[in-house]
Amino acid sequence: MDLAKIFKRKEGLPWQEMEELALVLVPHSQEAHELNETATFLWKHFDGENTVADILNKLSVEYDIDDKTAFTDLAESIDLFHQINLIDEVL
Amino acid sequence: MSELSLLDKWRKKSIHNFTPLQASLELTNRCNERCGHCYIDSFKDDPQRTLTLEQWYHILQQLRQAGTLYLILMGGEAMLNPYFWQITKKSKSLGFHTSMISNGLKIQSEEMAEKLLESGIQQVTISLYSLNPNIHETMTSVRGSFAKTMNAILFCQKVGLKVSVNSLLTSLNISSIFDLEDWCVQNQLEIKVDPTVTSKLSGDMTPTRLRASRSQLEWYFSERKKRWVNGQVKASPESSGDFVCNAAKGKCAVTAYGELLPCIEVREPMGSLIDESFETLWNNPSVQPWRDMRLSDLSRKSETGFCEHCPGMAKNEVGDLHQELDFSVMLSEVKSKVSQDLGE
Repeated sequence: MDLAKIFKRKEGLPWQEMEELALVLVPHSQEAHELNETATFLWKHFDGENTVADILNKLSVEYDIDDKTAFTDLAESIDLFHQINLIDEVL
Repeated sequence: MSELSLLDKWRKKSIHNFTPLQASLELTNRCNERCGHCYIDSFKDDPQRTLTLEQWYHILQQLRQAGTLYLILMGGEAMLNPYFWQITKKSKSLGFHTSMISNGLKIQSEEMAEKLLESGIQQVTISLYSLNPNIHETMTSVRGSFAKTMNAILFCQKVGLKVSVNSLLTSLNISSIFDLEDWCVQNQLEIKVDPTVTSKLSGDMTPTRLRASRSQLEWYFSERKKRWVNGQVKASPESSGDFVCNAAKGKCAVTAYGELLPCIEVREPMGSLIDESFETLWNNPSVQPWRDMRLSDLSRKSETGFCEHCPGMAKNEVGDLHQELDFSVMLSEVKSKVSQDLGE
């Protein structure tokens, strides 16, 4: 995974956070996704400004995990967010 | 987990946590219809009290921070607020799910419907009272309003906006209500038919003269049950467990002048969101009576199993939030009777 890549939440998806979990709505398909705590943390950082490297650092600090674990978690999460079409890559 | 059960889980969680997951914003009192059943006293805004765009932005940001996801823009006619488009765009950028309740009179082209969609409106609920133009226009007091409202529905559907219909059930339109329901089903429109006509905010009871009678309501609920597979008689969805309603728990409302209300029906402002923070107002002890009200606190006149009590309506009409209104009792009795007659 390219550490310089930047991702952002797909435009127009309503969402909110409660008790450290996020609910993301996809109005056109009438789907709703509840994100777990780590996914919510990542979701909030997919703001179109943080690079993958930035998010990796923040993830390691927040959850006190080593870089390798953080990298694996982030890569899997980005794959999942892509699969369910919640994020876009900023080109 | 299915979408419905997930949303229901979040709704319940918001009620338990006192998180205002849903907020209704009365963007203006102004309206381009003159419905005899409307609760608004004067279809005008006090120019000394209307909010600036920055003040509306401030309110949106506070609601976002407080945990609101579902924003309902309403009025009067929401689209008559001079900052309507800026407010919808800001709502989209902040991540709200934004819907609006409208009479549709300002949505008279496909371009306008497209603009709504692009500005972030996810759903439009249109007020339509009958497929008979004379009945609809008798209720709105505006000649030509029927054709315009029908146009708005078609334009919104054409551009892919989710559209639903709200219809107040009164003695004026009850004879044609099933034609309207049939038409909505044929056109993939959700329809909500509500028999509860409230007094005006000042306490003026004139609109309540339009309420359907007991026999009309019995006819309506019986017919509905016979016609629709899912037409079972249900209690109003507001009560939650032991609690009468969701006011100041999982929802709130804001008036055209920036006052925070426990619910759109409860017209006792908790304070001004322009002068104080949402957090300060939301945590004020004066809100507690609305949050604490349980079914066992009601001065109930009947025990039917169908609670139709609205504390805000009761407070406005008889000055006591615990006093069940005659109309609410009648409605619960009608639902109970119809439900038993049909062996549910």
